[in-house]
Amino acid sequence: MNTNGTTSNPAFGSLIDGLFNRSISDIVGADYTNESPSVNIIETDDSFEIEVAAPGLSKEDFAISIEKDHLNVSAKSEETNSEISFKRKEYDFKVFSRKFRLPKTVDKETIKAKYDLGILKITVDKTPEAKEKGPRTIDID
Amino acid sequence: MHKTQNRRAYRAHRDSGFFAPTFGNIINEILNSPLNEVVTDKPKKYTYPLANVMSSDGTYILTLAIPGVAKDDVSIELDKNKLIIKSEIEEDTETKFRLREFNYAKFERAFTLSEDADTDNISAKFENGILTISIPTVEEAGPKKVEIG
Repeated sequence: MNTNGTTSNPAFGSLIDGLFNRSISDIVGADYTNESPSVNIIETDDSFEIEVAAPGLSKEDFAISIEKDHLNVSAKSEETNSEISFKRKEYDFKVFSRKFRLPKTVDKETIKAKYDLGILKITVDKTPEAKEKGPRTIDID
Repeated sequence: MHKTQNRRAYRAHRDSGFFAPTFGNIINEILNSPLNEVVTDKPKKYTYPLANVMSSDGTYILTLAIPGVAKDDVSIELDKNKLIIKSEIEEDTETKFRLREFNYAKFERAFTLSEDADTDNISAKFENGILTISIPTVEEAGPKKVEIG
């Protein structure tokens, strides 16, 4: 507030999150932008599913490659709009790269990927040997 | 001796795991977590959706990153000048996660709109995991001048 009673910064400066919703970066004043998407890895009986949370991109922006026993996932989006000015920026997933070490129990030839609802889902099947090694019940005679 | 043990433990962990957590993500997590989560050191169950705010031609554009959530599972409410975005999805407890860095099944984030927001004309769209809310503004009525007669 300045002396004549109007807010000095009327714009989205007054757009503040609820007190308990605030991230620590607001409190300490560090304007941190998350540029590395989060990942979930799900194991099923037959495969591993790697979910990369990279919303706002399109299928063409991604590159997936395998290098020895590493899976590389990267993205590069060209989309920029100079008309828009950022007031607050908590995420930016336009350019990123993440690397995963594949276990020996997967068949690298079976990798599939799909982009849906902002999640890049990479599925890699387990090797037939690994599938067989799963827990099984033994009947008692 | 300790070193060998540590190394062995590390190797065992490394070989059993899919992925070694990167330091970058630990920092991300601390900086992006609500304060109460950081100080209580509780395992983070739900992810707090990140937001960007832009302005273009007198309109504020709020974008919220909510990947993996269907349009019908998100609700947007306007209570006076408070915009509340939330979701609550029934979770599948059968899924076996080897690594879990995000979970948008349940969240709530609220924003207080500035006084010049045209709350009757707010629009929203949801695409590729990004919820975009456009908030037009109205010209603010300046301080009224009173003539002295």
